Amino acid sequence: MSRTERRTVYGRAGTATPLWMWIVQRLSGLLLGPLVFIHVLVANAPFMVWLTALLLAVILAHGFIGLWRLAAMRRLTMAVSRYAVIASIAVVAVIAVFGIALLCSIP
Amino acid sequence: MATETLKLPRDSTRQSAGIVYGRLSKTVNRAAGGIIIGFVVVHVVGLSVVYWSALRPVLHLMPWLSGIQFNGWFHLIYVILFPAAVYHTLYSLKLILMDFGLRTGYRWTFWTISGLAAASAVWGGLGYVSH
Repeated sequence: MSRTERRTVYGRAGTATPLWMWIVQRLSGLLLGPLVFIHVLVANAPFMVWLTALLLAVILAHGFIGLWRLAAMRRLTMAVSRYAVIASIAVVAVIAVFGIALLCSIP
Repeated sequence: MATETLKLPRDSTRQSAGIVYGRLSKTVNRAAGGIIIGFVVVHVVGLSVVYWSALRPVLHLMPWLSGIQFNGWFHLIYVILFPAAVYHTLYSLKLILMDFGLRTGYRWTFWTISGLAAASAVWGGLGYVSH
């Protein structure tokens, strides 16, 4: 995230969201609806490895971009914004590590 | 550091003096997303402790964790989670529709989505009451 990407819109400083993030967040959001529906309501769906792996991947993509945007668009200084992005990555890493471990442990 | 006050491009009706529904909707949506992410972290880590053999010692220290979802009070989580999920879903769908050119009022969509989210909170609470 360089300084050149920082913009001020209506008096608020922030970082513009790259187009690919914007598209992936919307597509992953649309996918999350039916995936979560199946995960919660269909019996044994959480134990289908491919389905849970797909859900985890979509959650990671959607969650990371959401947190990144939250961190980047806040009215913060550049240094704080950088720490917020690192925190976003840390949260997603926790979900990824435990999620993959969980996938490998599904009976 | 950016300025603290919101500067609207046109403010002839003194809109910024009242509730700015677009900004409020966005803020609530972000809070809802944060709640959902928090739940996902707890859900994934909690299940890992139960199912991942490497974390079996932790489960031995906290054996109550394996059946925690069957406790009545656990349903109280839904009072927060359901409205967060409903709000985040409906508001995001509205954003996508707006990307395709749909024009909607900020005020009525905020109150409609918030009302449905509140109803889902009641539904989540009923699960706790009936348990």
